[in-house]
Amino acid sequence: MNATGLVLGLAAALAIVGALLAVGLRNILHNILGFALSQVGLAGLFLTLGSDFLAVVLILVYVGAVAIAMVYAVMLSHPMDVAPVPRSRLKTAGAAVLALVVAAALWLLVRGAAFPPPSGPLEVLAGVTGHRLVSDYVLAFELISVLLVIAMIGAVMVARSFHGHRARTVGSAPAAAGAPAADPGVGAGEAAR
Amino acid sequence: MSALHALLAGPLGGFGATLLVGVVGIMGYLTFNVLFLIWLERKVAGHIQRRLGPMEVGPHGVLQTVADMLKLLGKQLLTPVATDRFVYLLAPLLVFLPTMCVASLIPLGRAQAFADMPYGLIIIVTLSGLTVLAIFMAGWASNNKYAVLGGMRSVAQVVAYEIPVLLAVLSVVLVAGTTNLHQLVTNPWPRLLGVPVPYGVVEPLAAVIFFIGITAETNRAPFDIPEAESELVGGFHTEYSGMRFAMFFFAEYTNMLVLGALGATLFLGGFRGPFQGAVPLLGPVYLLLKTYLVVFVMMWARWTFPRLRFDQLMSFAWKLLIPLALANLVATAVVLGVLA
Repeated sequence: MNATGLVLGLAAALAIVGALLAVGLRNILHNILGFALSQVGLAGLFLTLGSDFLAVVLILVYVGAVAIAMVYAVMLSHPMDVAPVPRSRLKTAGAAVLALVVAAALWLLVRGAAFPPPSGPLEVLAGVTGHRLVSDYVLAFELISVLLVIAMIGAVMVARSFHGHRARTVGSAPAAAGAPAADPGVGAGEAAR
Repeated sequence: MSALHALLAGPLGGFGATLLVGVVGIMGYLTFNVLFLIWLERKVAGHIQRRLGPMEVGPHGVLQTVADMLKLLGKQLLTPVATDRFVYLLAPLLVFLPTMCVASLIPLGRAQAFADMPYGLIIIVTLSGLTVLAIFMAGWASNNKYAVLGGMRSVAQVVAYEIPVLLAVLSVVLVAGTTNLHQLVTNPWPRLLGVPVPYGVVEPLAAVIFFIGITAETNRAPFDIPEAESELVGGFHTEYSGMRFAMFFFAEYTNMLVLGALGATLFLGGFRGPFQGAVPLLGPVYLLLKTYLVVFVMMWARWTFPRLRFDQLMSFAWKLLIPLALANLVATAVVLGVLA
């Protein structure tokens, strides 16, 4: 096995181990760390296969965002000294069946596919991707941005309705002035009124 | 360095020799740098506060941090009972890793970069955001409310300040037309009134935003609320002692150096300088001089400005820096479009 093959194997192993940790462990924070590990492994796979840009984006988007997910995980996690809730057997069995189906489908796909050798070096991949996004695929690109705008407006609406609800229940007391600002946007908004 | 490389290339092969020289060189230099920067920080703080700083160990106290490091090495490592042990032990090791990777990507001279990658700049920005993961792991695994609060603050802060840094970097990329750091330095500079100037002169706002952003990303005052001593004891590293505690400081000062070097490369012309073309060895010297200038300004800011409150810090990032950085990016694109 040459050096590239070794690195490829290591990256694949990292991805698999990370994925197993992500589903197998009983602590939600460990799950998220496992997920981050598997993404690093996947990025390693892309990097060894010569797709630098994809690897970087994978780390930027998935591993970088894991920190945020961890903050939420802390809010959802059990205290360390409390025994974890046992797993539901039905859910485990269902997940196993589903995973087997997906694995079988993937295997069929991969077995049927032909892998031609690359026709040339992929030096300008990011530039080409960017160019395609605003020329050939501009409609899809714009649709995705519309989707994101909708999600943002939805988030704002959710936050605003919550804000109004709290203002009603709390009354007109200037709650945000001295309170620790868990949500600075809300705090500043209330202070401004 | 190259003679040593040639000597090692015999038994190890070219790639092996590069790897060995690179890793040993970077590790050794970073260790030296941390010792130097901590000493410098104390001296700068002392002189700003009209006192002398460390004076006892060695001339002007230069060996003070060496003594401190020896003390920390000999200290007992305390592990609280109720920690999440594996994550607790992993965090101080992991906090150092992204910075190390980034250090190998900064171009040191015309033909000297340990890894010359087409998306080097994006990789650096990506990796330097990962330190926060380790900081949060440390905070959470300590099983201490102050540590968790520090970790959460760190996440909120780094996420907020990463965006203006990225936007500032992007405006330089627009001007330079490349994300390869080596090309970014060696490409012909933009001309202002016929005189070639580094990118910092044509992008002053981006430079300022970048500087504020990296100060926040390294958790330094006036943005050091993740470890705010007066309210959170020590923040995320409250429960760490001895060398494990020192690892967090190692990471912080190394991060300062690396991000300072990135700032010098982006805005101050990197390894370029007078006579650098004729004498290639001057490249790293220029880069280090510029880097330490940026680092010095970071220290200067730390001992001049008071710490921001958490909500002030967040609204400063989201309501001022991000809109400014966005406007700067759009303005850059418009100006470039008009000029082209």
